[in-house]
Amino acid sequence: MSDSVVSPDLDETVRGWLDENWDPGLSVEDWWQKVGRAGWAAPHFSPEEGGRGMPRNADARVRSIFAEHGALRPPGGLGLLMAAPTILRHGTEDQIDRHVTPILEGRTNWCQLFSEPGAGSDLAGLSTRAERDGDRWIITGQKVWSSMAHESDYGMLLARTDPDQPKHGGISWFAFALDQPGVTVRPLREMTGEIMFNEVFFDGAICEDRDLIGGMNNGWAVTQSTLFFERTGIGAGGGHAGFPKPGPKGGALGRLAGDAAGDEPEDRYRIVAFPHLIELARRTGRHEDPIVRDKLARLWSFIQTGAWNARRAKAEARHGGGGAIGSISKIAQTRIVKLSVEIAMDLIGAEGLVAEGEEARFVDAFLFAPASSIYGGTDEIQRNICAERILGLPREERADKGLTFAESTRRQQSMRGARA
Amino acid sequence: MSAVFEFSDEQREFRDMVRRFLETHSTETSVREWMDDDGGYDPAVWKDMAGQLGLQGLIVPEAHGGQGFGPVELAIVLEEMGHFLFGSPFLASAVLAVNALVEAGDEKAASDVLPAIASGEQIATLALCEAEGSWDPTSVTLSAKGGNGAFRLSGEKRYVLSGHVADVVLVAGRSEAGVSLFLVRGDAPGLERSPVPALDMTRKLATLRFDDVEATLVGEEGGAAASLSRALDRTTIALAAEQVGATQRCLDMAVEYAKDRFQFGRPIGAFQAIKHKCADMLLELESARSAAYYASFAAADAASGDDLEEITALTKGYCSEAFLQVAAENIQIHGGIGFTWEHAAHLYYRRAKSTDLLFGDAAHQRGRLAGRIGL
Ligand SMILES: Cc1cc2nc3c(=O)[nH]c(=O)nc-3n(C[C@H](O)[C@H](O)[C@H](O)COP(=O)(O)OP(=O)(O)OC[C@H]3O[C@@H](n4cnc5c(N)ncnc54)[C@H](O)[C@@H]3O)c2cc1C
Repeated sequence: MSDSVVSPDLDETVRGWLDENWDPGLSVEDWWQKVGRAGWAAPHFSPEEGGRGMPRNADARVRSIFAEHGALRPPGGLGLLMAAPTILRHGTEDQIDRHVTPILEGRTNWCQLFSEPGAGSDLAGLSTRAERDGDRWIITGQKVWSSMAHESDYGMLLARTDPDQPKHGGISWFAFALDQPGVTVRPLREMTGEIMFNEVFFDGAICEDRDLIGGMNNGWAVTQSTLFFERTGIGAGGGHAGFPKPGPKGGALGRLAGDAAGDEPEDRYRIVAFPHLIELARRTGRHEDPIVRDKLARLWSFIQTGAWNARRAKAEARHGGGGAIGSISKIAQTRIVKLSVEIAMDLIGAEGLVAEGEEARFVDAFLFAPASSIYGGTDEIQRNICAERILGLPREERADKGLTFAESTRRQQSMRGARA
Repeated sequence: MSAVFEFSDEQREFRDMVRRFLETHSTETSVREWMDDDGGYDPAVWKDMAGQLGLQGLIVPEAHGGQGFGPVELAIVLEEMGHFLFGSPFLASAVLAVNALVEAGDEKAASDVLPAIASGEQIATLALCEAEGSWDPTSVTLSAKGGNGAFRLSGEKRYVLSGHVADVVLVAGRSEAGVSLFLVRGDAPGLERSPVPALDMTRKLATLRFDDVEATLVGEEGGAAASLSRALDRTTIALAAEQVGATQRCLDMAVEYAKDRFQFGRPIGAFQAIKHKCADMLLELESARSAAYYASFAAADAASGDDLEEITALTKGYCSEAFLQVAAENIQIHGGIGFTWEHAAHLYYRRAKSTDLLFGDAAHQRGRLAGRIGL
């Protein structure tokens, strides 16, 4: 089954396509349209969905072949990782046409407007409101930790459409256009020193009814899909930011694809890939050290079993199984990230005291590593999911069981009051 | 390219058949009986297995009376055997010895011995390891003197699987030409076989002492190191599947208990400390299973271009640690009862460490792996 694995044929096909099509003189917009229409933006989607019916991990391979070829890589970002597959699953034909195609062609950039100051792991505790006004919705509230919101055209917005239902019951999922009055995006500085995530405030912002995805008050079910795509995508090494940024706000669509291709080498961005570590071990003369060798071999085992897990999940899905493997992939990815930076910092030694120069990539990656077990649902929450949904262990006792959202908010306030 | 991770319908049915056999014959009661028995198995069950399923000849070529199946079917059988902790000379005879004979490429020896192994009438094993505990065939020192196919062996072999019950012993020795493989009858004069009390009581081991024992050369004199390495890798891949089956059983036991055992008014499985342990056990189990399956498909497909040594080292290293961790956590989740002789948890814990040590432990495997990933 040549389509069930990332095979040498894939490399050939991609290279052949690039030989025929890559043209540095095209605008980024035109290039990405070509790429999207050929199915390379999401090779793991089915052909009807705009992909090529390949396994999940073909995506990363395709991107690296584009890079090797010197071509501008396919558009990336959270729209591709989460919004597109969610809308494909829950949206109407009209919604798919209006949103998925632009994502695949890099014409829109998306962010995820889920978390709020009062709703993190307990996402269903969100209080941003959407109130109906004819064929529009009026949005009021606040989101936080919204990665890339300052460069996004659309947001996957979760808002409460009925506070008198139990908290999971009164939520809806919107495709929300960020560029409008009533939306304030305020960048936050991360512990890395950089700005990636934001606070987003809604003060009477508008969303058209036709952009409510998956039905009113059905947002929790839709969100389960989004979160599934997020954790399995991250587990498969997806979630790449995409350079340059897709969409008008990224500002690159009018540039020459050839110029944009040279912009930002992937490997200088918070990622320690395995070959970097091998090269580093040799460069620092530590490749003979048995402890270093043991750690690197262990890391390689994690990486390789992760890739095999993904392939096995795909094969088993064809026989109606494989759920367990998808759920462990995000925790598995966390341990890969953390071990990678541990080894890298160990290898660079005292140079780790310095945050610029030749080894800065490793210091950056070290600083970014704690994020991997937080974003996309913390490791603790992922373990709860594995234990409860896969292994069938008893569910967590919930203090707000049976209460409507409004009641549970009041209860929370009175508990806080009693403590103060 | 191999159809990796795609089991055929026949293979799925085959698994069910093997499982049914083991469910009936490898109950905890019978495992404990075999454990207390010197031979470590029940000859009647061994005979039934040959008669009903022909498993002893699973990977023996058809020309030599076997079924001629490959690494994937073998992995299926061993995964199930691991799950039920089946006590028998299967690993020694039907896997290790058969692999050693087939890889040696000696048609005469194969046609002399394989049919009886395949039918289950005779039990075979491989004696490789010596006092310093290395599974590397190039480190063999047992002396082999002679020529023209007739040799005399002197020295000692350790940790020989089912060594005291084997009718046929394949022995790695060193002759003037280098490391060679020999065939010795279990009752040969000068061969002294002593069972050793094993950490894993469900898998019997023996020390064999050779005092000028007559032996027949198998394969080319001096040419055994490479073929033995291949045989060991193939056996190790099968063993990894056995580890996965046993790991699954440990997680099953733990989860079942966590749902049933109440403390502080709720099942202990409602506590996150327990829940998260179980989730980590699941991660280890499923990753180990992916590795073991991948390795068996890769071994089945010589054309895949996979580096079998690299994959073997990775898989054995991973599966060993996964099994050990899950077996230990299973005891922890059971609390006091998990530490009793009566509970099966320790049988799996013993099996976990013993399979880690067999054919080279996890650290050794990672050492091998490191040499193949650019270090
Ligand atoms: C780099 C980065 C990027 C992000 N990008 C986005 C984004 O683009 N869009 C978006 O919507 N969100 C984003 N997030 C937010 C992220 O999803 C949340 O931070 C995360 O879900 C945790 O929520 P919290 O921060 O409120 O922590 P809390 O939920 O307050 O958790 C605090 C601690 O308590 C633990 N905890 C909470 N509940 C339980 C429980 N039931 N059992 C055991 N432990 C528990 C957690 O594991 C954690 O250790 C991002 C976060 C980071 C770090």
